[in-house]
Amino acid sequence: MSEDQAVVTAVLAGEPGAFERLIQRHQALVWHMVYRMVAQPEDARELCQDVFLRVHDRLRQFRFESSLATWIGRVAFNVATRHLQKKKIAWVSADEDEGENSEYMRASDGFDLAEACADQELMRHMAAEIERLPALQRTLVTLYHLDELGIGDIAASTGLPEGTVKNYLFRARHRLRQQLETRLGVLA
Amino acid sequence: MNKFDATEREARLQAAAEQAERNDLPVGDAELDAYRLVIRAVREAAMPGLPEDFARRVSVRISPTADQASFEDGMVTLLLLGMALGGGGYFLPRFWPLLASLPLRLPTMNLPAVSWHWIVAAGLAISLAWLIDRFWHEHHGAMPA
Repeated sequence: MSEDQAVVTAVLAGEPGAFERLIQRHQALVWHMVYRMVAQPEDARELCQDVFLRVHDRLRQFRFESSLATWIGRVAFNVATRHLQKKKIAWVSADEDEGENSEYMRASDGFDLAEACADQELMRHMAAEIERLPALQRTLVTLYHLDELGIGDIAASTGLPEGTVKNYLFRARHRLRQQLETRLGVLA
Repeated sequence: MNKFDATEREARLQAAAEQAERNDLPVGDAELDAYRLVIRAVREAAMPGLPEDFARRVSVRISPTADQASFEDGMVTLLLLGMALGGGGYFLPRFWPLLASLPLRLPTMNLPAVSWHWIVAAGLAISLAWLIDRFWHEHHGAMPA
């Protein structure tokens, strides 16, 4: 029996502590997905609770056709997007023009990666730039690089085609690099 | 460099940076390192988190609810049963002679007369079966084969 099957069986059997274990295993992923989509900590915390309550209610419907993480991710993504729709907040950005500016200032030439990573100011600036990315881009880039989900898993969780996920990831990293170059240009 | 080539080049740089990060390769290529910094920034970006006892809090919200729900279900069942018995005890002695005196003959079919109490009994049996089925679905999912 896989780990997913074991935990699902335990929760469905009403084993004490089983659902708490399930939450602990998946809460980071759910938090990253919901917080990156919604960007409001209080709302995101409430929504995370909703996600797990829904997971509990619908666990019988889980058919092991994907990993449990992917299935829970899908619930989280649906909860977050429904929240944004209810609040009439656009979560898909139409900023198609960002790829135009592919000529960099090359301000990063000769910069030291270790030194840059140790530069708290620069890392704070980059964190702020991540926050400024369109909701879907910052979510996908977080799921891919922080949660280390594969493209296929992200596509399954979000319902987006794999090519679209790759495209959003490319654009997010591209945009962040542009912001980095701009920042280094300012610092130089 | 046209737009397609530039995009292609950036995509290759991003893939190489990802590979370099994954394999902890030495630094030194400025363009690659810029993307490596982007990847690290995403990984290390500070963001608020969930409370430490989040899992316990949510699971507690579910467990007592389930216990409470089963207690409430039991109470409601008892109440409904009491009401049914009380109602039956009150109305049956009054209406039973009337119901029993009303034979039902289906007009188009040549069937023997059926008295009302058989129809009531059949209705009760169907309702009971439906309630058992509903209860089973709610608490155990699909009915076992």
